[in-house]
Amino acid sequence: MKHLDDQQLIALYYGDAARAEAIKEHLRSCMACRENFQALQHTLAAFKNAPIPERDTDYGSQVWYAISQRLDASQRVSSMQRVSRFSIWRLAAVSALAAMVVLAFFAGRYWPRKPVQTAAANPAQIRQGVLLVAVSDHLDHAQMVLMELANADGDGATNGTTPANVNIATEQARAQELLVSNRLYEQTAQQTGDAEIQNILSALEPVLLEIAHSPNEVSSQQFQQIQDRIRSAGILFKVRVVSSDVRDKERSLARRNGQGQT
Amino acid sequence: MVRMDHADDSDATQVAKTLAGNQEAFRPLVGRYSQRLFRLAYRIAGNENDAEELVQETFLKAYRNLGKFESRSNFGTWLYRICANCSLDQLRKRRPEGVFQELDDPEGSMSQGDLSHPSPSPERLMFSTEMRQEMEAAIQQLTPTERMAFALRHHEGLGIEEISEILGLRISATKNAVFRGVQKLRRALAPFAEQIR
Repeated sequence: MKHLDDQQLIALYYGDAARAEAIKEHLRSCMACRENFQALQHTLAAFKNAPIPERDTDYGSQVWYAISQRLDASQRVSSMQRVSRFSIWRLAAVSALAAMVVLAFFAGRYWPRKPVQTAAANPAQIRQGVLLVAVSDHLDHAQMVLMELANADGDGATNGTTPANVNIATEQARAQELLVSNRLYEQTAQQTGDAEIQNILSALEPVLLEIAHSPNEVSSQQFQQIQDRIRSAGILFKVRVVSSDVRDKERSLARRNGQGQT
Repeated sequence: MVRMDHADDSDATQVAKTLAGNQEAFRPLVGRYSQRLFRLAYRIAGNENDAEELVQETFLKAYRNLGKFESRSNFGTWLYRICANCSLDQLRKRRPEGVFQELDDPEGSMSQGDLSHPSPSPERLMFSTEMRQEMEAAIQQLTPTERMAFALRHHEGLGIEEISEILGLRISATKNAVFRGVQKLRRALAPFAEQIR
């Protein structure tokens, strides 16, 4: 038998050789091939023993911590892919509105002030007006989602699902949209110093987050937990109160602007 | 031999829960496979930072594509496949075009001369750290596919069939990748055979 080639020796090393017994037999009788095989074993053993830096035992937790924020983002991206064209335009409008408010805020802060005050609305009033209109609309939508969930039967019959499950896909999609605009308005309210609006949006976020991250279909028990969460936080009541305050402020601001211009 | 089928039932359950919208259910899967993925990624990338980046990228891609995972498959093998693709992308981005010769080069035309590097003096090799550098340099000479095939076969102990599934190659091409990888490593370290013994 001629000498064994590398392919046969490597296959033997990994236990993949087709004719393993014949190869071993040859190795027993051929010193050159035996030495060649031993050299291969030494080389591969050296690679086997090459050290790998150790990770901590909680490395998995570290990885989870590092990626969990990005998982949130990817979930939002995939949910955004499901929203309708109308929703995308609505989201764009919300973003533009928030950008206007921020712009008005900074314009008011840095624009050179004239020594003589005019009676017309100043930048602070304009930015407050824009924010009030946008937040008022936002709170109305949030209130509708929360009310639909809080007042639903929870037996799934109206949603065409099995009695054991409740389909909340529609509310979930709306909560996902509201979550994005909620964060934008909250940041804007923080910049404009409107504590009441900032507080209600801050309280609304975890509730919207829970709804947005729930499965499309939840069990009656899970649905009950969502309802309990809405009720126990008293969020619906708070939203109604702030929504009403926001409307009052909106009307009051409109009256003042109207008087100033006459 | 490292097999990844011991946790299949539990993996499938966690995958199902994650797909049902429970993001936290993905966490045990990250905990279970992070160390193994890091070892593989380190062997491919050759440094800790890139390896850690690869691990994170692998889990993010897995999460985003979880809907494509078939429940009958082995989740670990599926993760390895994603890690392999991420690693191959990373390696290819890092090296200019044409440096690697891939498996579609049927003759394996890379000659021994291609593997040559400055011959060190024997004294240098007395030190294990320097020996390690020589071995790392030898690994760097492998194509991304060969490196991945070698790591999966040699270090992770996976069978040819499983590796071919991970790399998306035919069985014969996978065997060839392992063979060529080992052959190149042998040639690269041949001058230092005495130190290795």
